Amino acid sequence: MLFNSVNFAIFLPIVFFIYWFIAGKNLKFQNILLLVSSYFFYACWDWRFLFLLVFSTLLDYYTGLKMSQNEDQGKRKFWFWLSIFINLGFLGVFKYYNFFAESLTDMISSFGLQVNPWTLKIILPVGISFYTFHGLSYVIDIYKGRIKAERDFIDYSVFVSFFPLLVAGPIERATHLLPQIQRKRQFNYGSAVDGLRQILWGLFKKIVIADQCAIYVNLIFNNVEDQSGSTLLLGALYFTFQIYCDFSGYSDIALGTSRLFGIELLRNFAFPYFSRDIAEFWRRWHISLSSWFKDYLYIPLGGSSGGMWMKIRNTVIIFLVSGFWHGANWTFIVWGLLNALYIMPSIIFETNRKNLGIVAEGKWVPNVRDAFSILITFGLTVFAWIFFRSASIGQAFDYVSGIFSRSLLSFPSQFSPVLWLLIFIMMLIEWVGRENQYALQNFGLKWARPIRYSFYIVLITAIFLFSSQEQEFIYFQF
Amino acid sequence: MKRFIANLLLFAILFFIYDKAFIFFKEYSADKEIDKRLELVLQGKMNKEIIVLGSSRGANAVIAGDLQKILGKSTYNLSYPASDVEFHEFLLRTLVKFNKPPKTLLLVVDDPFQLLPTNTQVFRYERLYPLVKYDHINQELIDKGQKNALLSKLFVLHRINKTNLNLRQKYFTPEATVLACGSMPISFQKSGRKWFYEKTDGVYPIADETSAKVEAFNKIISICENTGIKLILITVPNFRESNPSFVERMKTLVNERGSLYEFKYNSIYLDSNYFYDESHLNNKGAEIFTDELATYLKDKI
Repeated sequence: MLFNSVNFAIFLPIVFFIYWFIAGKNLKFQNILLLVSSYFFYACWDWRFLFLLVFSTLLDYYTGLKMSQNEDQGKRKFWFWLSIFINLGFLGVFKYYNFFAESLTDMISSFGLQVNPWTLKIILPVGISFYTFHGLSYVIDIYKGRIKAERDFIDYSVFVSFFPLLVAGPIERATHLLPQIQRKRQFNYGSAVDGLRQILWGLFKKIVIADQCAIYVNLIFNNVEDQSGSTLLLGALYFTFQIYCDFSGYSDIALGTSRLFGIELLRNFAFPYFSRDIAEFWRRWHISLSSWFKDYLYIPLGGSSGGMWMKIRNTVIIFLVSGFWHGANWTFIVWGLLNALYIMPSIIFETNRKNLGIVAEGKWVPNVRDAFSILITFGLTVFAWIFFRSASIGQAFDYVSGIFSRSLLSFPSQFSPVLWLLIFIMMLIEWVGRENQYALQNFGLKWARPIRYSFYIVLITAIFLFSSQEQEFIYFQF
Repeated sequence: MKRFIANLLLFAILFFIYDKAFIFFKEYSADKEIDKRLELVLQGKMNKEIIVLGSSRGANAVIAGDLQKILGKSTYNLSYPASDVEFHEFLLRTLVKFNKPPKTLLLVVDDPFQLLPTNTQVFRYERLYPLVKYDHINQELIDKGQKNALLSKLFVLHRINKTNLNLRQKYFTPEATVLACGSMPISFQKSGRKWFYEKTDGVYPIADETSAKVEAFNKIISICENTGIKLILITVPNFRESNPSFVERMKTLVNERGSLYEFKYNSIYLDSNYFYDESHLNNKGAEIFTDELATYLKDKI
């Protein structure tokens, strides 16, 4: 079931109604309802993989309990590694097996030996990277003694499977989400309205911007050799906005939906395209994943405590793993490496924490220096996205060399003035709302109600007019 | 909670009323279209003895008016540039639903993309959007997953598309002008062509065929069988050698249920002056091809 589907538009009010009107006074009943509806939500995609989700939940719940019950460090270690091994094993088989098999075959073939690739016909279970990381953070936190194991299986299962975050995050932490699941929740009018506004903004970004950009992106990336340099550059820009509006749109819908149930999820995006350097970009893009890698990989590897070389090594590892997390393809690994390369100067010169605040806070426009920095950072990001979107490394290099050709100065063939006007309006609203959790949070709140409602109606009109076939979110494939 | 529900309902009612203002766009957008062929089909005004279906090759190369003169049978060309076989199946299905079935269907097949995946031939949704006031069109969009049945009943805004808001009168372009007989011959050559006559490698990859296209192709054959339409597949000259494996594949699929007209090579089809581009005849080439086709059809229908 997709957030941008009619099925979800029916599913959500039904769950909302039962949650507040029937189960409203009983926390246990509310949590059971959330769990059942989350499993139903997941089963709508493919019920067979529900067993995998339940198994993964049971595994982490049980190993968590075992670690908590045992004082003996050896036994704790055993349960800890058992959970890590099985969790990563599933991820390895479903997501990476074919990649390794094909890469190994290619390597053997390069020595002149002919072998058949031992690939399997495997469907990637949607959300596996996300719920596996949920479970891993929980198990690691218990092992490190940061939290105690959750005894209530229902509460723990809701933490793993809560439907707004189940398929594409945000990647939650037990310390943040579990206490909210255990606490009695009261309906809050302001929060619920805020949630609806965030869902509206997410749908606008997904359907009006991302899905429209996708039409041109597919046309251009599927026929790289036939396109002029200017069209290829335009295609890279389209994809830059597509992936942002697709994923941040998804996150807005997830956070907004969760707010309707009185639960606050971790923020996933903080206007990354207004970043002044790459370090700031990574503090603002897919925040829940970046912070996960920082807490569970970068710091355990020694972080920045062991001097400059360790800092550089760990940064490269983080970006490599982050690239690989996105998918089993060399394109993602190169994308990760490119970002590591981008961030390296700021690591070496220790300027990576220079831009921690909001750009041009309290002002309408940034100063020239900030504007220039934003443009440079945006340009670097656009370049890296070419590798992320390309089907292979070869295609990515063809794409880049195609851009830097004489036809770069010609008029692009896939230029859509209407779409660029919509992108401009979206970015303008994002700029105005950049000091908030999401762009629309306080946008127009001071306007008279008829004007504000008219604005919302215009957004809904655009969503209706631009909606056609339901398009999956890009991050579902990860 | 009561306040939340009440405000939500109020907003929904306001939106529901506002939505109805878009009925104007739904009803009026078809009037601004210049290519009325599909609307004529929907209105039951396409009662012809011979119908031509195909993509741009069919539209450019078969001049229905000339066929009508030579054969003495009412003929109309319903070929749409850049359309695929699924679109042709939809057209035929719509044609027989709202009109008297034609006696003969000339289906122009595209060598080699008739059943193979390609970006150049698609289901022409944008030809359907201006006509969403017709329930048949709306249902087709629902069946194709473009629209939702419930939402399109409730909201006009869901039923229409952004293109319906464009109420400017549409005009023909020099490359796409529909004649009264439905054909779209082009009187000039595409600029900047480097004419090169390509030889075929004779390979046709059956394994690469799209199942949806094969299914649509078979449905066309079934519709013809069930409604008594004589089906004739037509191959059209390109400025490159045609692929005999493709022709064989078409023959195999149509089997006894129809026939295939394979054009005969002559010096004209090796001369670029008779082509608009490598894949399309211009009007000079189309006149000659239509004449040859008419000679073939005289004995067949």
